Formats: sequence, C-alpha cells, structure tokens
Amino acid sequence: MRIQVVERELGASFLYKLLIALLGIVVSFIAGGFLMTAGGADLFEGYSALVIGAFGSVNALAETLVRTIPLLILGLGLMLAFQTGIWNIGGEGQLMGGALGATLVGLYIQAPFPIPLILMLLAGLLFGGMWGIIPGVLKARFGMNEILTTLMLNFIMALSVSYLLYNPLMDPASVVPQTAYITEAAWMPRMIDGTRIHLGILIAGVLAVLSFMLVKKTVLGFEMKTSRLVKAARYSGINVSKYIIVAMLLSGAFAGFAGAIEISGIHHRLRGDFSPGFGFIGILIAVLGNLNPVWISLVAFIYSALMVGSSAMQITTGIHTSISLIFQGVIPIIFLIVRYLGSYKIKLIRGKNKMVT
Amino acid sequence: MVDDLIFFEGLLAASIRMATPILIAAIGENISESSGVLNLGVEGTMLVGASVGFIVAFDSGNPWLGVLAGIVMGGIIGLLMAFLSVTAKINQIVSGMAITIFGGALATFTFYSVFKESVGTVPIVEGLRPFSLPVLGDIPFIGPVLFQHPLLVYIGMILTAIAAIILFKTTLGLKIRAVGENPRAADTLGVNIFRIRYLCVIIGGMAAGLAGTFLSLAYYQSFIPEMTAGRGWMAIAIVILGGWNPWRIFVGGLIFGGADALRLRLKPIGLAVPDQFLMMIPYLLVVISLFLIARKKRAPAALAIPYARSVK
Repeated sequence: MRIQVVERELGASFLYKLLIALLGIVVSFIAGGFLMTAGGADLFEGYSALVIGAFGSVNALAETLVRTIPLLILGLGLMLAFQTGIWNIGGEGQLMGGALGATLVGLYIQAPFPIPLILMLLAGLLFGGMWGIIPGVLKARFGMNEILTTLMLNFIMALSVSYLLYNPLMDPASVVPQTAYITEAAWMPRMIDGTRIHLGILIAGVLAVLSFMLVKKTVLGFEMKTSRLVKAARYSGINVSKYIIVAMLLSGAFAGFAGAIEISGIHHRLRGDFSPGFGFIGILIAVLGNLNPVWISLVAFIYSALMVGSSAMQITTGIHTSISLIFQGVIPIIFLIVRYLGSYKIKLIRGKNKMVT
Repeated sequence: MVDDLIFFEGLLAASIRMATPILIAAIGENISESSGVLNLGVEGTMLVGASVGFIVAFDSGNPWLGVLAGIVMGGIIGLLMAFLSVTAKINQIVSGMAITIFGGALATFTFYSVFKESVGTVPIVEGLRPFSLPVLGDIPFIGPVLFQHPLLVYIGMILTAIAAIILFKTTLGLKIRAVGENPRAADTLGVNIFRIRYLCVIIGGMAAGLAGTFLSLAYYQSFIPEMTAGRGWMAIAIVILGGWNPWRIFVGGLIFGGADALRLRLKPIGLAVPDQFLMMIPYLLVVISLFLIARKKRAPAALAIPYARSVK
C-alpha cells in the first residue's frame, strides 16, 4: 500500500470549499499568533480583542459592516473587469476620483435632501467611470498594457487630489489637508442611532445581486466573460474592444461609487487618507471570492472584520499599528496556500508499487 | 554660467544616484519576467530589504552586513512569491499584491519592534558613503557626475551588464527566455521549468532587497515607513517600457531617476509649479512613453501564466 497525492477534480462541493476556507482562516490565525507573540503581545488577549473588536457589540458589528461596504462594491467592480480578462489595478485611483467628484457636488450644490445625495452618488459613478474608461480605451484602441496604465493613473489621481486638498479645496478653518464638510443634505442616512452604519450597506447588497444577475443571466455578462478568450470571442463575432471598454467603465464606476459612498456615509469631507488602500484590497477580495458575487460578499465581510478587529487588537495589546496590516497581508497569502493544498487529495492505493510517470 | 554648470553637474550626479534603486529592482524584475513570472511584489520586497538592512547595519555597525541581510531577506520574499506563483499557481497579480501589502507592513513592524517608537529620535546609521574614485573622480565635471557615488551605484551598472550578458549570451539565458516564451516546448527539451522560474523569481527578490538597502543605507541613512514611495512600481514600469532588455531598462532608469532629481532640485529654486505636479511627471511619462515606444514591444508570451504539466 502506498500514498499518492492526486489533484482533485474541479468543482468540489460547496461544503468542501467552505471547509477549506475555514481551515485557511484557522491556519492564518495560528501564523498570526506567532507574529503577535514575536511582537511581545499576549496571544489570548490579542485574539479575544480581535473578535470582540469585530463582532462583540452592536457598535463593533456596525463598524464591520461599515467597512464591508467599500470593500464589497470595489470587489464587485473589479470582478467585472477581471472576468473580462482585464487586470484593473487602478481601483484606488478610481475610488479617489469618485470621492473627489462626489465631494465637489456635496460642497457646491445646495438643495433639499435627497437631491444633493443622489447627485453626489451619480458624480461618484461618473468620475470613477471616467478614470476607468481611460485605460480601457488605451487598451482597446492602442493595445496599451492596462496593468501599467491603471497603476500610473492611481498615482496621478492621488497627487491631483493632494494638490486640490492643499490648495483650492482646503478647508480654511483647518490646518490639515481636507475639505470643508459637505452639505448635510448629502449625508447618507444612518440606520442605527449611535453607530455609523448607513444605507450604503443596502446599496452594496443590491449591487451584489445586480452584478450576480449581470454575470449569470444576461447576454452582456456572457459576452464580457467570453471576451477573455480573445480569439474564440472574435470568431464568434464578439467585439472584444467594446467589452474591454465596457468592463473598465463599469469597474471604474463601481470604484468611484464606493468612494462617493464613503464620503457621503462616513467622512462627510474629503481627506487624502480616507482610503486605507481599498482599491488594492479589493483585488484580493475579488480573487479570493472566486470572481463570484456570493463569495465576494462573504470575503468582503470577513476581510472587513479582520481590518476592524485587528485594529482593536492592536490598541488592546499595544503592539505597533503595522501588526494590523501584517495580518491583512498574511491571511490572504496563507488562505491561498491552504486553498491550493485543498485542491489536492491524499489517496491510499492498495497493491503493488507502480512507477509514477 | 558657472552656476548653471554646477546646477547641471549636481543634477546629472543626482539622476544617476536616484536611478540606482529603480534600476537594481528593475533588473531583477526583468529576469523574473523573462522567465514568465510577473512579480508585482517589488515595492513590498524593497521595503523589507530597506528595513532589515538598516536594522542589521545598525546592530553590527557594518553597512555591508546590512546590504547582505537585505539581499537575503529579499531572496526569502522572492522564494515565497515563487512558491505562490510557480508551485501553487496562484494568480500572480493577486500574489504580488498580497506580498506588497504584507512586505510593507512587515518592514514597518520589524523596524518598530526593534527600535520601539521613541518619540522624536530617528535612529541613524553610518551608511554607505559616496567616495571619489582615484584619478577618475578628479576629472572636472565628469568626475562628480560619474565617479563620486556610493559603491552600490556602480554595482547597479555592473548588474545591468551581467543581466544582459546572462539573458542574451548564455545557455542559461536562453533557457530562461524559452521558459518565458514557450514553457511547454522548453519542458519537452528537458528544461526544468520550475527550477528556472524559482531561480529567476528569487534573483528578482534579492535585487529588490538590494535596491531597498540602497534607500535606507546609501540614500537616507535611516528607515522610514513607505520610503520606497512608488519606486518599486516604477521599476515594474521601466521593465515593460524597456522591452525586457537590461540596457534599455538602464536608460529608462536614468530618465526616471532624472525626473526625480529634477523635482528635488527645482523645489528650492522656488518654482511656481506645485510639488504635486512635479511629482506627477514620472507617472505621466510612463503613460506617454508606453503610448509612443513600448506598445508594440511584445511581452514574454507566457508572462503571468502558471505552468502545469498536465493538460486538463
């Protein structure tokens, strides 16, 4: 009898995937424990702070949901690009662009609620979409590598926002680079008093359902997916260039929308540091979620809990703030490794040893 | 007139110095990409090299031990990237992004675990000082521009030459490019795809680590979180703009190093252009040059595609 490692057939059961996902989380936490101990913190204290910080009270849970909103919307938007075969890593710039557009509306349009709010969200869609469509057109028309262009546009947007925040848009009453508060009629309504959870969570949920329908049930979704197989798509008469542009437009619009919602729902003013790298984390979320809206929703929630909980953990244990970021980087890595290992199974083979070829 | 000359001399010298970290990281990335692995973890790997290199140099009092430590740590991060992308066949954009997030945090965490956050005092190390090469350094104008740099600047130039020779003049280079262009054919001919890719990604990581130590030991004599400030991403950009050719990447490095140097030198003159716009120039330059020169250059055909032996 001998042991052989073979690859599992694709399409393992939902239960198996869930099991592997849970195992991934457990192994990640063991590894995180080593880091925490290395940083001189008490393991039990740290992890209980993490769980309590993410789920332990109404407020904690509300904060976890608040963080889920931008992560989920960005993850969904990036999913649309990735499944078309476009590597949009410009989510951060598109998010910033959307936030900028939304803030301009919130600052300068005075009207009764909910007009400014609606205009603000539309401006987010528009600005984000515009910042997304540029690399889309450059790719579709001129074959320019979108990884590079989207990346560069991140920097260009961040620097533009920084310029505006230090100069024309800077709040005169403030010494730090931020705008004044937007008009209160543009604030996203809160759902529970005393917490920051706002209507954006429902909007994000609706977007998850809509993108699920788009991907699974519509011709547009099907043709976008087929565009990834460039040759096959061209043979079947699909206009690949068109879908590259559509995918980047949608992807950017989602990201910009997320930016607008963050400003309208949480900050009520634009600051240069309002995003802790949502655009980059969104990439991890879209892929960890298997480019499937259902899984992406779940991953966005878990990742958000991790972000919120690990900063609570950091405060309780007093280790350096970067431990929280280490957790956020390490856990996807270990998770992906466990998922890889989970794609194999160990088989016991009875009988004589055979040469493996 | 004399003032202009001094300004120009300083600018050129600074361009070469600022080009070095981008160049070294880009040469490593070139080798990795030529074998078919797109490593987007450069920025994070550089930070780890910068942080660990600084700590070791500080503790040992020897900056060269720090450089060595940075290279080794870069290699370890490269090994992790290789495992994720070659063995586990995880999407390389995702694994690279995870490594960048993780690496940046690890660098900061390690640094503050060693030094704590003592208020106001930034630990400083006697780093790699520039020195003047005998005779050559004394030539007017050319001396200060070319021959009065820290040693790592020359190492960067030597690495460019070595990488170009290995990639285009040796059997190993042929194997690397074959693995990046058509892994199945290379496999059929008995080239070990996995070994070559591991080797190349680890070399890429070591180069990024070395590039990081240049920043913390030769450029700043200290470590600051996020001190790479996009240079890792810029390295990836000039690999693509340079068409996967070390010599062209060298030129690209000089141009972008020059843009960096120009910005720092225009600032004290009191130019009316806001700093943010000057900082934007390199990124705009990447997009424009991609449009003008690089878009017809072909990437290694198997870039970012994991290799699996069995066809399903």
